Amino acid sequence: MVGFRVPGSGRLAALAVSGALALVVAGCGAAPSGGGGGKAPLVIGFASPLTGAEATYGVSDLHAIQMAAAQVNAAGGAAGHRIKLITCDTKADPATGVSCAHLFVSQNVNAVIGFFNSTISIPGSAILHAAGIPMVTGASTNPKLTEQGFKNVFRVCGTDNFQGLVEAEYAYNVLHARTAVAINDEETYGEGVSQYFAQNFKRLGGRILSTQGVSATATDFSSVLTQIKGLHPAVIQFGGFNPAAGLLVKQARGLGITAPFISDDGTIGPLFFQTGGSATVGSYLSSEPAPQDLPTSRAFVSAYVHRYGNQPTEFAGYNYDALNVIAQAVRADGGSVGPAAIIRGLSGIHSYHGITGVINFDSVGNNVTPQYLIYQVQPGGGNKVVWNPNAKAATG
Amino acid sequence: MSLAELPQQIVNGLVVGSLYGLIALGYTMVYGIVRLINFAQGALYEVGAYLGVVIFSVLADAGLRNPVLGLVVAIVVASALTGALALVVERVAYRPLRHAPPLAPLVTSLATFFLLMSIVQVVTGAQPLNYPQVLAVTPWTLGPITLAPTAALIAVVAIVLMVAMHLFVQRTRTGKAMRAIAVNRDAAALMGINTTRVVALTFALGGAMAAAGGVLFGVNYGTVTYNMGEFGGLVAFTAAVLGGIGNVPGALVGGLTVGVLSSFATMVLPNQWQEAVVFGILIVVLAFRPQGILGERVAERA
Repeated sequence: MVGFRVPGSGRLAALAVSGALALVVAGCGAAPSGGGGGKAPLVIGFASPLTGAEATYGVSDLHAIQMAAAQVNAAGGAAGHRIKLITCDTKADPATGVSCAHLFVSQNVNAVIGFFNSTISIPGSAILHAAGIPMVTGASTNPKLTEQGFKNVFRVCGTDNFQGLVEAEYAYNVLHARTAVAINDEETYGEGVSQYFAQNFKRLGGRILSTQGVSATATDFSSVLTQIKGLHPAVIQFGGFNPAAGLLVKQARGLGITAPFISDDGTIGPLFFQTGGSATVGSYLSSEPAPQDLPTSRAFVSAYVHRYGNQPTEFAGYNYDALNVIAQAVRADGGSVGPAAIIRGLSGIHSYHGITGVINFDSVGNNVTPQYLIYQVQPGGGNKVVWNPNAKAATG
Repeated sequence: MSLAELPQQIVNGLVVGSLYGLIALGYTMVYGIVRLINFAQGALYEVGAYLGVVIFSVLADAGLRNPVLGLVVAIVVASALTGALALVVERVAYRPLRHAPPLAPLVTSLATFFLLMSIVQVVTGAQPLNYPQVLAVTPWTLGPITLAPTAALIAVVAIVLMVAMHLFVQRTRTGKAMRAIAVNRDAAALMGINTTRVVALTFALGGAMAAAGGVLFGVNYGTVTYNMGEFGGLVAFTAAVLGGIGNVPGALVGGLTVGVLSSFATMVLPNQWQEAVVFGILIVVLAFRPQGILGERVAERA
């Protein structure tokens, strides 16, 4: 599940399913035909929300992929195969997203990058698995995606579990907290992050005073917060989304609870500050790095800004890496664009230096070395990096 | 469960409960006079909350920075506009059906509820909207009780409005006319009371109270959602029935009871059980006292 969910968007999206599938065949026409000569094109299907509430992310990811494809094609293609993109709009709706997967199968694509929302990636991956088509995701972070035993699925971004780990390390090692309360919004994503936080916090030696589930749609948390106040935790961790996160922290401060608030990339973003106001300032949020915050992404960000005139969003870099990893797999496995050969090539990816960091796929297709950062909400609502666990060794 | 947190939990319950009571007023007044459950009330509460967002942003654009003045303007204007909307609802969805069987206006009030909520959803794109931070977040502490200024505001304004409404019904000429219609509409008309106008006014007052509740909700919680009318409307309806529907002080008593019960529920059972416990207790209370806490058994009218 990707970070920013708009409450109610599911219902709206369900209403919006009109059956009209926006299909764009974008052959990266701007790029020269490459040095491929008569070689078959490498056809990559890309599916993400290109309209609707999450379109900002989907379109930015598409731009990153188009830029990556143009760069590969300009350099002669992947082992001589010119990249051709087929784009499909999921509208962030599972039913529409699944029809994108069927479309890719019927178009005989060589590989797929998708589907942004884990709720679509999971059923979509099953359809691609049955068809033997490789799938790489640069945005779906739900652990379940790679727990299905599908050999065709690869993930260049991290999983939600890593966030729980990084939050626990930060709370215990940096904030020196020894007691915590873990709250989740009773949805798959929030529950997962909160559970991994609690596990790792205990493993480090901390004590979880209470685990609480709250409804994602509730607005009044005063009763549960009153209980938490009586426990005097050193930190409060929350796994979930806004507006619940913003409401929780605002009401906690209103009840005089001063313990630091730690949450995740479901919470990070303008809505947190807009909902919780000044009460959110000082809160800690774990997240995959924004491309602007990664030294290895600098060239990508400036090329992107030059090409599109705006900043890439959170997952654009991972999608850029996803396309390059597929091109690399084609080169590695004797230059064949057959789906089976690409799956073999992807399985062999080791220590690939992408712009989001080093990529190493394990046996189930997860990148075992994803990067996560801890951000802190600043007065005015901006986020600043306060901790980079990857730099731990360097800073001692 | 710890008894030390009891005073705080009671205060938490009284704060949300006074908000429920304010919305419940509209249900109870309309029911008391025309024997109709006006389900549109929940949607009027939501519309009022969204109008508050618009009013605050207009005030900010106009350069008005005084938070107290802004709050008063927001409550008054949102209540006036929502009261006017309630008049339209009465004219379109109730008045043409006043001689129809009682189920017909019940269905049109439900239809109005869904219609208004859908309009809010479409107009705002289902995005939650945010209120500006009107008052400071720094809470007040009094012994074992900590209270955010906005939470105190909800309770104070809601109770003042409810007392004012009670006095209006009991002490004014129009209030007397309302009570007369409640007893016998035909007789009231024969006495020269303009029943059509008084019934319309009752709808408008109910809508205005709901809108005030909506603005107070927005100021305290900071965020309003397109489906807030569902839960708010349902709980307020329950509060009205629990307090004794048709009885103005009953709305306050019912609201506070529901609020405090839901606060206590989380002390005994996990948070997820909150609503189940509240509504479970309601079934028990109504089984023994179907007329509600303050209500009197209303004789079926011939």
